[in-house]
Amino acid sequence: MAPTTKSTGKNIEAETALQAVVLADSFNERFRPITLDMPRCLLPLCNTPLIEYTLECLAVAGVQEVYILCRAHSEKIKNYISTSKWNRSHSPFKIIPIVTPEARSIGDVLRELDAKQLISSDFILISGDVVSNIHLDKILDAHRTRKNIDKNLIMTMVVKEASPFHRTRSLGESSIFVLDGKTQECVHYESAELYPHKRNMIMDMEVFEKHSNVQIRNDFVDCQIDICSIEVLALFTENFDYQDIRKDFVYGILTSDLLGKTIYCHIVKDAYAARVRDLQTYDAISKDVLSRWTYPIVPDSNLQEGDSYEYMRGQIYKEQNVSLSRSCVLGEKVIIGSGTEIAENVKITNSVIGRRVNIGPNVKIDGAYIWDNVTINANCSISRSILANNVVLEENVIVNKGCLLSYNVIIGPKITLPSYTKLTRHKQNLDYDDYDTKDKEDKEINQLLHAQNIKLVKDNQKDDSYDIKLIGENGKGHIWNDETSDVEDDDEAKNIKVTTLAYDLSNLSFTDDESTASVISEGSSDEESDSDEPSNLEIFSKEVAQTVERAFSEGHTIEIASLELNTLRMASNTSFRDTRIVVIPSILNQINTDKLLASTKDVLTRWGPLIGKLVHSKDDQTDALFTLQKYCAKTDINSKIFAPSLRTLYEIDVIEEDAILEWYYDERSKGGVGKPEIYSKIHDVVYFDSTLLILAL
Amino acid sequence: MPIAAIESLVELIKHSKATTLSEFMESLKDASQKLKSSVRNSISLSAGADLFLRFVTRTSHDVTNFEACKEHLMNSGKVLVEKAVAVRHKIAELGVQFIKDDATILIHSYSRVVMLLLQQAAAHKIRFNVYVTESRPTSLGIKSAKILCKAGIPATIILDTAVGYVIDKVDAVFVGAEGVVENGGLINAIGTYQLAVVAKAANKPFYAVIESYKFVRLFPLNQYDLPTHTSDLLAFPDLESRCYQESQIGENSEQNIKEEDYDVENFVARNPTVDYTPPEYITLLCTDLGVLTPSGVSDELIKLYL
Amino acid sequence: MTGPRDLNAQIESLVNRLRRRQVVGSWSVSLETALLLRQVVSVARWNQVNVLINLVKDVGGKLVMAQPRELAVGNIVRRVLRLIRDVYNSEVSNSNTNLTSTSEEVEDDDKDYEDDNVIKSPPQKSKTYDLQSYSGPGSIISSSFFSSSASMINLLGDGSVSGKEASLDYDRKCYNLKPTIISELQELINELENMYVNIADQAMEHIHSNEIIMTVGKSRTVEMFLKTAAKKRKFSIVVAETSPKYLGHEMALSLSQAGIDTTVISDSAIFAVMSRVNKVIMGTHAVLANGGLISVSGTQMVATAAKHHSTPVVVCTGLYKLSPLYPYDEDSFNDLVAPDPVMSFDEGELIDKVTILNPYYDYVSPELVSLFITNTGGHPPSYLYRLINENYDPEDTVI
Repeated sequence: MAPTTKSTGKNIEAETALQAVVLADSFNERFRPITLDMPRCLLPLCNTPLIEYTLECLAVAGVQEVYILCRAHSEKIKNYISTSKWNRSHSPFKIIPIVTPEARSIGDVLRELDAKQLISSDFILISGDVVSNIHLDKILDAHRTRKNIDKNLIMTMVVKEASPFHRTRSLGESSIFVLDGKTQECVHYESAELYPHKRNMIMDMEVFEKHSNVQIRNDFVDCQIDICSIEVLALFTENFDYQDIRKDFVYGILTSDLLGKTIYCHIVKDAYAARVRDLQTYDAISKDVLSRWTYPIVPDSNLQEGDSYEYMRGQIYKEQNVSLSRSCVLGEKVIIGSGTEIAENVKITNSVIGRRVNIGPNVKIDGAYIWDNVTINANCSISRSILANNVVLEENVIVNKGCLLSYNVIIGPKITLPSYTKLTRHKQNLDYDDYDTKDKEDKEINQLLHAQNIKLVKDNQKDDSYDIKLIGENGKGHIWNDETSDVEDDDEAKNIKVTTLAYDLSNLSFTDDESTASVISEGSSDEESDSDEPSNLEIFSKEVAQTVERAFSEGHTIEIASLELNTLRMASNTSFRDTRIVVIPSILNQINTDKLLASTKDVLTRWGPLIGKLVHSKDDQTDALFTLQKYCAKTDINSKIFAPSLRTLYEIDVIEEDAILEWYYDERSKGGVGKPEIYSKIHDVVYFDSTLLILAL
Repeated sequence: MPIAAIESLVELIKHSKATTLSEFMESLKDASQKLKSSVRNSISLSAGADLFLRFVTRTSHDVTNFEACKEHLMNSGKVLVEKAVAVRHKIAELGVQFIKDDATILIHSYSRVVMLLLQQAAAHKIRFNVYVTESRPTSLGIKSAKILCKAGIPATIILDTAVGYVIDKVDAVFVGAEGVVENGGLINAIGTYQLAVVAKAANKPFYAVIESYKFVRLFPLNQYDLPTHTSDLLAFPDLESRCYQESQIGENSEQNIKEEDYDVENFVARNPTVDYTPPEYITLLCTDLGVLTPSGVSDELIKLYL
Repeated sequence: MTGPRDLNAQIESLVNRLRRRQVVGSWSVSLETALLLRQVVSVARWNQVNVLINLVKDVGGKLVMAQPRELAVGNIVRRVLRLIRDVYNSEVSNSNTNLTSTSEEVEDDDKDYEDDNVIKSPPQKSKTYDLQSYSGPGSIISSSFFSSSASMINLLGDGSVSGKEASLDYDRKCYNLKPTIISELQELINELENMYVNIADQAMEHIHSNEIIMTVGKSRTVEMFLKTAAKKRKFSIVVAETSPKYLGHEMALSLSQAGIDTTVISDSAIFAVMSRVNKVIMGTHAVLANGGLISVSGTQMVATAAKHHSTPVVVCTGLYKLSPLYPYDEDSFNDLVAPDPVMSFDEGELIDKVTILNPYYDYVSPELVSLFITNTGGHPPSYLYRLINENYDPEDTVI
C-alpha cells in the first residue's frame, strides 16, 4: 500500500464510515459456570442483554460499521445479532460478526482482524459488556484534535473517576495510570491486582524529565473503551506476544523506547461508563442502572423492542402485565419484567426480577438477580445471589449470599444453600485438569467441548449423581468449583473470590491491614524480616558491611574475609557487584583523613587485595572504579582520597591500566550522581595522575 | 333518574295523540314539568328531561314527516337507555388512570359509576384501598363497602365526621354526582361539600366521576339556591329514640339532665339530602366526554343548548 | 427514492433518535415530527381519508411511545389529524353546499373567530350533513357539529347508527385532498418556525419600563421575548440559576450580552427576592389540559413564591406545547435524569448508601399561573380547554 493512497483514503473514510470493534469474548472465567451455557455478552443486566448496552452506546456515537468479534458460543451470538433490531434495514449501522475460534487472547483476535484488512481508519475498540451513556463521538473528536498535535498518538483510553472501594470498581483488578497532568498523556501503566499485592512499580526516570506535572492515579475505573488508530492492529501483529490489551499492549508501548508511540487517557466526568468485569461489578452496575446513573439508558426508556417499563416512586421499574398481590412489599431499586406473578406477603428489595417469574407466598428476596422463567415456591428466602433462567426453587429453600445457580438448576425442598455455592447442570470434569493444566485458554475451549459431551452423556444416563444432601431430593445440579483454586495460581483464585457476588469488604479488611503494615515496615527499618526482594538486598548489604567491619577490627586475613563474603554472597544469591558496592566504601572509610596520603596507602595495601578478590575481569575493574569514584564524589574530603587510592590499587595490581583508561574515556566518569564539580575535579586529577602513570611505565 | 325521566317521556311520545308539532311539544313540556314537580329532588330528573326535550326540539327543526320523527325519537330514546351502561364503562375506563398503584382513596356515599371505576381499576391489577364514608342519613356508604369487599378491594367505613381524621392518609377523593351545574359545580348527596372543603384544605385532588347526561342547566349561587332546597325535607327518624337512650345513660351520670330537656318537638331539625359543591373545589371531572375541568362543563352545555 | 421502505426507515430513525434522546427540546421534536408527518402524507398511498388518519395515528403512536415525556410529539400528531379532518370536512361541506345551492358561505378556517361561526353556522351546517348522511331525517351527527364528535347530544343521536356513520363519514374516496393537506401541513410547519417571533411580538404589551422581572431556567421563547422588549424598554431581570443544570447561568449570559440589566440569584434566594419582583416570566416544557405546567424543576418554587407575594406569573409558550392530556399522576410526566450533577459518581461510599434523585421537571398547578402568552395571544389558564377544543379532536386524545 502506497502511503499517499493510504492518507487520502483515511481522510475520506473519517467522514464516511466510523467503525467500531466489539470484543464479544472476555477471555476469562469470572462468570463460570453460567458462561458454560451463554456467552457473557448475552447475559441479562436489568433484563436486557449486555451487548445491547454496548451497541446502544455505539449507535448514539454515530458508528456506521460494527464488527463483533466472537469466539466461545459464536453461534449464539451470531443468531442473536441476526434476529436483533440491529440487523434490520433501519439499523443505524452495519453489523458484521467475525468468528475467531482459534484465538486465545484479545491479542490473537486483533491480529486476526488485522489480517482481514477490514479496518480503514480510527476505530472504537469496546468490550461487549460495557454499559455507558458516553457520547463517544465527542471523545473521538478529542482524539482527532489530539492527533493533530501529537502525530505519534495511537490510542485514547476512556477512564472514569471513582474513589477506592467504589462499588463499580472491580476489587480483583484495577490499574494504576500515570498521566501527564496537563495533556493527560498516559506515560506509564501498571495493572494492579488485589493478590498478589503490588508494592512497587518501576518507572523510567525519563518520565519525570519529559513531563513537569506527573500524576499517579489509582482512582480510575477502566471503561475498556479505546479509540484506536489503525496502527494499533499493526502493532499487535508485529508483537505477536501481546495478549492483553492493557497488561501487554499498553504497558509494552509505553515502556518501549523504540516505538515512540503515545497513548492518552480521556477522563470522563459527567457521563457514565463501566464494564461488567465480574460478578461484583455486575451487581454494582445493575444498581447503577436502577439508580439512573446511566440515564438515558434506563429501563423506562424502553430501548429494547417490546419493553414496557414504567418508573414508579422509589426506583421501582415495573413492566406491563405484572401481577402483584396486595400484601407484597416492593422496596427500593426493584425491576420486574412482564408476565411475572408475585404472591402474598412477598418482600423484594434491591433486586432484578426477570420475565415470567413465579414467586410464591412469603418469599423474601434481597439483592438477588433472578432471570427469566424462574419459579420460586413458598417460604423461600434469597439474598444476594444470581438465579439464571429456568431455575426452580422448591418450597422452603434458603439461598445464602453469593450463590450462583446456573441454567435449569432445581433446588429443594427444605434446603439451605451455604454462601458462595455455585451450581450448574453441567458436571464438572475434574480429571481433565491433569492432562491439561498447562494452557488456560486451551482448557477453556476443551471445556466447552467437554461441556457439550457431558450434556450428551447426561442425556443417556440420567441424573445419577446429584448430591441430594446439598440440593434436596428433587434437586438437579452439580456443584461447581472454580478449578483455578486447586491449580497453580493461588492469587488468581483469590482474585476470583473477591470478585464473586456479595463478597463483603469486611471479609477483606484483615488482608488490608496486613498490606498497610508491610508498607510501613519497608519504609522504617528491618525489624520484620520480609521475604520480599528489595529488603533482601538491604539485609545482604548490612551483613556484608558487618562482615567487613569485623574483619577490620579482628584483623582477619584477606583469605578469611573473602571466604566469608563469598558465603554470604552465595547464601543470598547476589552478585559480586552488589558485594563490591558495600565493600569498597567500607574499606575507604578506614582511611584517616588527617594523614591522608599515608593512611590511604596503608589501608589499601592491607585491604586492597580483598577488593581484588571481588574483581575478576576488566569490566569488573572499571565498575569498581565507578564505585570508588561515586564514594569519593560524595564530599570534598573524600575527593582527595581518589588519586592516592587509585595509585595504590594500581600498584598492588588490583586495577590495571586498561580498566583505568576505559573508565577514563567513559562518559559517565565525567558526571553523575552527586556533585558534578567534584566529578570533573576528580577526572582532572586522574588525568594528570594516570598519564604520569602510563608514562612511567 | 335522568334515564327514568327519558324513559317516561318516550312512553309519553308513544301514547301521544298530538297531531301538530307544537301541540306535541307542549304536551312534552307539560309532562316534564309534572315530572319535575312530582319528586322532592328533581335535579337529576330535570337533567334528563331537559336533555330529551332539547333533543326533540332540535330534531323537530328539520323534520317534515311528523310520524317519522316520532318514530325516530322513540328509537333514540331507547338507544339512550341502553347506552347508559356503556357510558359508565367508558367513564370507568377513562378514570382508571387516576388511580395510582398503592393508593388510598376516599369515596362518599354510593355511586354506580364510582363503583364501576374502582372495580375496573382492581381488574387492571392496580392495588389500592378505599375509605367509604357512612353518609348518613341514607347510609349508602355501607352498600358501597359491601360491593367493594365483594370485588376484593379492601374498604373501610368511616363516619362522616371522621373525614378530617383520615384525609392525611388519602391520596385522592372520588365522588359521583346527581348533577353537574353550569359553572362546573356538583350537586350530590349531603356531605360532599364538606368532603371537598377538607380535601382542598389538605391539598388532595378531588375528582368527580359523572355521566354527561347529568349536566343540568342550573346556576346556583349558593347552597340554598337549589330547587331542592326545602328546609325540612326529612325528619330525623331516630332522633327521638336516640335521645331516649342518652337520657337513660344520663340518669346514671352525675349531671342528671332532666328528660324534658330532650323534648324533640322543641328542636328545629334540618335534614337536607343534597348539597352544592362549588367548582373551585373540584380538581377534574371525569365524564364520558373525556376529562374536563369544571370550566369545560359550561362549554359542553353551551354546545348543547345554544 | 421515496419508496415506502425509505419512509419506514425515516420513521424508525426518528423513533430511535427520540428514544436515545438525540432529539430533545419541545421545539425541535415538534418540527421533526411535523416534517416526518408531511413526508408520510405525501409518500403514502391513500384514497380514503380514514386510511390516512389511521396511518398518521399509527406513525404518531410509535413516536409517542418512543418518548412519552416529549408531549409535543403527541400534540403535533393530534394537530395534523385535526387538520386532515378539517380539510376533509370543508371539502365535503363545500361540495354539499354547491349541491343544495343554499350557498351561505361559511368558511371557518379562521379558528379565532369560531365563536361567531358557531352562532351563525350550526343550522345550516347540520342540515347539509343530514342530506348527505343516509340515515334519514332527524339524525344529527354532532361529529361535524363543532367538529366534536363526543358531545352530550351524541348520547341521543341513535347510537348504533351514528357510531357507524362517524367512521363511514371518512370513508368517501377523495383524491384531490393531498395537495390541500400538504399545504396546510406546510402552514403548520411555518407556524412552528415563526412561533418565537409571534410570541416575542407581544412583549411590549407585557413588559413596562423599569420593571423587575424574574425568570427561571433557559427558554428560547422567553429569551426572544425579553430581548424584543429590551429594544424599546429598560427593565431589569433576575434569573434564578436553576440548579443542578444551571440553565439560569446560560440564560443570564445571553440576556446580559443583549444589554439587559441581569442579576443571577441562587435558587434558595427566590423567595427572598420575590418581594421586589414585578412579574415572573417563564417558559415551560409542556402545558397540560387543565393549565398545569410541566416545567424545569425549580419552577414550582418560583410560582409558589410568586403566589405568596401576589406577583403575576406569565408563561410564554407556543401552542404546540399545549397538550390535551390531564395530569392524572404528577409523576407520570416527570423524568428522572442521571443524578450526576447532584452528587458526583466518584463518591463511592455515599452513592452506595444514599438514594439520589434528580427529577428534571416540576408540575406547577394551574392556580399558580396568571397568564399564558401563546403565538395566538394571551389566555388565562381557565381558557385553555377552549384552545384544546379548537386545536385537537377529542377522538385523538388517546393515540
